[in-house]
Amino acid sequence: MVTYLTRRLLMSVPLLIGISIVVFGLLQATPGGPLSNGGEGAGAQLNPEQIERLRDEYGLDDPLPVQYLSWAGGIVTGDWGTSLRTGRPVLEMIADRLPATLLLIGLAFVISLAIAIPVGIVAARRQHSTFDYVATGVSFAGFATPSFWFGLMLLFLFSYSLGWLPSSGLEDLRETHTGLDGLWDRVKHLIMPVAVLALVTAASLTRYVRASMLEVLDQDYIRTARGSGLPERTVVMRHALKNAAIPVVTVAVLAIPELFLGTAITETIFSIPGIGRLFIESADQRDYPVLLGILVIASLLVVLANIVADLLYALLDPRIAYA
Amino acid sequence: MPDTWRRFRRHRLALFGLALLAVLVAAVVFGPFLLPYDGERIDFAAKDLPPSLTHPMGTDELGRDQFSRVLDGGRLTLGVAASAVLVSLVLGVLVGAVAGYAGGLLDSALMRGVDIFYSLPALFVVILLVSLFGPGFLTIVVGIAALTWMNTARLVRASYLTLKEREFVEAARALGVPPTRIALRHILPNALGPVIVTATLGLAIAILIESGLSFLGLGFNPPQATWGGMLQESQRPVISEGHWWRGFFPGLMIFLTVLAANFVGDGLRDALDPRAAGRRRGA
Amino acid sequence: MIGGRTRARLLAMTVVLAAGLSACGGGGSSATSATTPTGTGTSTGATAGADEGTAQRGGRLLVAMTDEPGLLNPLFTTEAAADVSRAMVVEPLFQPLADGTYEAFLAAELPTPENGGVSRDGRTVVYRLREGVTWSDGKPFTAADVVFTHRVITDPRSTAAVASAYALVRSVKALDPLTVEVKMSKPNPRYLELWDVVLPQHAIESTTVTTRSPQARLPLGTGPFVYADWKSGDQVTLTRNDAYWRDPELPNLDGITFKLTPDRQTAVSSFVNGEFDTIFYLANSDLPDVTQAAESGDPIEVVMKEGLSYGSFLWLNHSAEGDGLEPNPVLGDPAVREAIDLAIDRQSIIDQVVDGFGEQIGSYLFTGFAAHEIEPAAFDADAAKAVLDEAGWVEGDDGIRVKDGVRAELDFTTVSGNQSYKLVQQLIQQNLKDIGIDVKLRTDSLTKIFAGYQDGGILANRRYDLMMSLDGFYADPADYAHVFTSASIPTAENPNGFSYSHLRLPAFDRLVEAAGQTMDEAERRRLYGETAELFASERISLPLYATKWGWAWNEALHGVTTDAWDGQWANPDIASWNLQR
Repeated sequence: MVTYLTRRLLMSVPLLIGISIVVFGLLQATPGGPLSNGGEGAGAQLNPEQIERLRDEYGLDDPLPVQYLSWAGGIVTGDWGTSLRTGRPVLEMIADRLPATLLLIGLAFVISLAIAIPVGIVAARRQHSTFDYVATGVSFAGFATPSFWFGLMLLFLFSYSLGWLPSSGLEDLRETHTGLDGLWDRVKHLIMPVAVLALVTAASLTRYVRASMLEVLDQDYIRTARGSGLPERTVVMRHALKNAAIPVVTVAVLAIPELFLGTAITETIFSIPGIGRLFIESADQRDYPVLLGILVIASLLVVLANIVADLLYALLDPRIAYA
Repeated sequence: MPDTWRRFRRHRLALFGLALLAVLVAAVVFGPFLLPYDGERIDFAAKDLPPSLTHPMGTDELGRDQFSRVLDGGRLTLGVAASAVLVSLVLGVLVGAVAGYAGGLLDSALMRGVDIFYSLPALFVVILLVSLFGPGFLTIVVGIAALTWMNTARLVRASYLTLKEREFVEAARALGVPPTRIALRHILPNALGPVIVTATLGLAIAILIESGLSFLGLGFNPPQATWGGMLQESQRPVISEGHWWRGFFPGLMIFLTVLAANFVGDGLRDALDPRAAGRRRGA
Repeated sequence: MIGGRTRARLLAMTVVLAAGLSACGGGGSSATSATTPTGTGTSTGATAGADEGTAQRGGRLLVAMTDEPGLLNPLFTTEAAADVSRAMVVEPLFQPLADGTYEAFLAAELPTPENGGVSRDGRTVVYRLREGVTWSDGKPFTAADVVFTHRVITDPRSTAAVASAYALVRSVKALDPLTVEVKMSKPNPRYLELWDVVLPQHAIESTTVTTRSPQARLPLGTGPFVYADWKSGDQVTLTRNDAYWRDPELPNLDGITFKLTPDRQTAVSSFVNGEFDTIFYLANSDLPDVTQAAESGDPIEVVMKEGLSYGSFLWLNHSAEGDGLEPNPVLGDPAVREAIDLAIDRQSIIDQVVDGFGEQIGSYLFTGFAAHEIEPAAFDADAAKAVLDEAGWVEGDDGIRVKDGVRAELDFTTVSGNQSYKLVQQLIQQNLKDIGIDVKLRTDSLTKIFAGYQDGGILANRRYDLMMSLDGFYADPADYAHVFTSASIPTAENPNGFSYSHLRLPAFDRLVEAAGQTMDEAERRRLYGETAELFASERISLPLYATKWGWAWNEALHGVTTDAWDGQWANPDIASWNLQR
């Protein structure tokens, strides 16, 4: 197992280097270049000498490979550069924003699974039942609804019309709530953003669990188990579920990076200070060091999720030998 | 292929989806010629009208007939999505075919490239491209395509790897057919099945990505508007003024199109993979 | 860097279409002496709902903010959002009033020739500082701070972004702890615009202050509030300055939190819904929503600004592509400019798009001391067509006019992200299509439109025919008028230039230069009036309409006054705001 893990990790090193080159190159290819911030942010109010000095400081006149190496070296050693807009270290800005995003992703992931697994299983067991049709219909609808529209409608209904839920942020800013009251405050702020973020994931996982379950329930050994007179519940829970879980786990883990990307829209709707917002703000302001930093984090997450998915697959599936 | 079609026909939802898509495409392509209104014509006398017989989808704050705008917008929406899928398809097939057919070092190099693109945070990269290069047909199409071609490439490569060892290919090679011709005429048609499934689902994804970009202010410039753009424009009229028709109809169009594309994609997948079809039917 | 500051501030504003972003400094009222701590009635807005007598202490104000500033020290950024600092944290020597005059604030008096503050040749100004002013950390505010501020501004390694009035400052000397003597290279009529932000010498190590410096990010000031925290992308929090120099009883509020709400519609709806007490800059396009809500009984107070605010302009690019010395093939023809002026249905824009919150204007100078009224062109599509016919623009098969092989097509951009701007654009497109001019619409980010010459900015590099944005709300039009002179046109030799029109008109240049160096106010007013007549007759650009502006806050907030320039913001009365929930 350890060798498998080591090999898998080593394999991802060239991949990460490749990604970093593409990401770095992507930003170099944009018109204007790093110091063309224009009217706002760092660029506009700088005179030519100041721009010259900044170019010097950031090594923008060096050949591209040199720039890349010094940037990549910085990433490895923990020096991710400083924001052109705020002058703060990139890593610090990302660290500020990460908790909110992780909270959203974490909850959305758990909720998606909490919906997808039971609904998928029941739908598969009662294939062609009303429950199955409704579940399938709702998950198709979840797919087909633009998530921003879903979010705006939730806001319209629960914040503006009914006044039940707060429309923005993660906590009440007027007064501090503690204890249970504080928890309830948090929950109220999180319900809508998490629902929006989880919409697509929950829909696709439900369909996946159902399909996977159907496939397993049709296998010979399940029929054998049923035939041998085991109670249906045991058949489903003991035998079918375990095997159906293998592909589902992989897909579920790979949904995490997708959730991460979804925060760009969710955080904008609900005014949540997370990475998705930071990315959009930085793209608007052409804050290259921050953009690079976030792209690196997001890519790392994808690579990591893939490794975890592979590992879980190897752990769960006895047919795979990890030599 | 006839087998596939026969199996596809049995898939009722997929047939329904296909019919829906056909109607939608016909409507957006021919509809604007049949309607009495110009979707861009401003007429304050007809401002903010709810749906009626003369304006089945109502009008907007500039008095434009929304039915006409939905059809015009549909042409743009479907145009963008279809172009993105097409570009992504061509790129994916090309890379996959070359990698699968050539094999060796070129194959591994191309596949590492695929791995890299797989690991890029797609939506972030599209947001970045559009905010740096400005919104426009080309940026949005290229952006979406550049981040969705990898699935196709992997599928096509896998097909080529198996197909190139098959008898009919061996035979063609023995007859002295040039390699490019073999790759294009003999293998490609046989590798396209799974690719079409990916393309159909890709259509749905492209429409959703574009609508997300519109919400973030990275959509098309007026008077052009995709359905996503119209949905974004409707935010204030719906929430502050209660003009529900502004959001309902563009939203419904996105919903129906994405739904139809998903039905068709599912049906195709089952039809192409009869082994799984029996179990999944009814989905 | 000196110059271009006011300009860029305006640019920042166009994006939010926000109200009175103190292009000219803070709002006016109050504090004629240290013993009159609250508003003194120079406010033009109503204070309905405010109950001055029973000001309540305590409470935290929650404000929705749509655009996050990069920096919060207005001396180092051109962003309008940095106005959070004005009057709350940093205070000016002179507070501008509604009528374009000033009131001494951190200064003890206005320097005038009569009191010896301004020398006879107008080149020496002596500023006397108010006694007993302290920084929020308790240290005294002195002449050394003013001298230090000037050293920071002139340090070539600093990144200060200040008004062009500073360009004339030659030397700054402290005569005693409360007296500063400033020598100018030329008579400087705008000497009261200087020192709207002063830096605390004791809190800054070197004269090199860049955008990276903590003081550029979160300034220490003399105002009623102190910065406590700034969580990027989330919120900016201020707490009460317990030792405020005007009156230790002030401010009434314990603190203020600005919550970032990036989606404008959400911000407005949440405010109407009572989740926020007010919005940091209500945009013109938000007015219909808030007025409607107030009428339907929501507990919010809406105050409309009297008179006009920022003007919406259609800027015309007079030069062709290439070296910029050739006239624009279409807009270079005065007949085309006249036809466009006649063809635009300004009243429909006002009535249908901005819900009546605007007024037609015909002069580029419509606010401030030099305001000069000119009748706007009357909408007449037939007259416009006749003008084009006469000038030889003939309609082609597609309905678009052609002259000498040149097709009448124009490229029209505006600042992205504003729905009502997009509607105005489409209306103008329709108007011009009706007279045979083809307009292609696009929107570009604020950044792209206003980026500098070397950075490929759209305006600077003339990559537009028509552009629409807000401008023209000034007490003193000096910087604004300068934008339309030849000297301001960006070129390889003049990369810091800024122009909306790229037109070289020597007569206009001469008038603006003369006005900039005239100390006599009546004469300056006359000279600017002449520039306005020339601007209109040459149609350098087209004023469309002046926006109506207003402010809104929850009824729980009392003591709010609004003034002509910044309304409720950048207004010293913020110290008297109080919450009665």
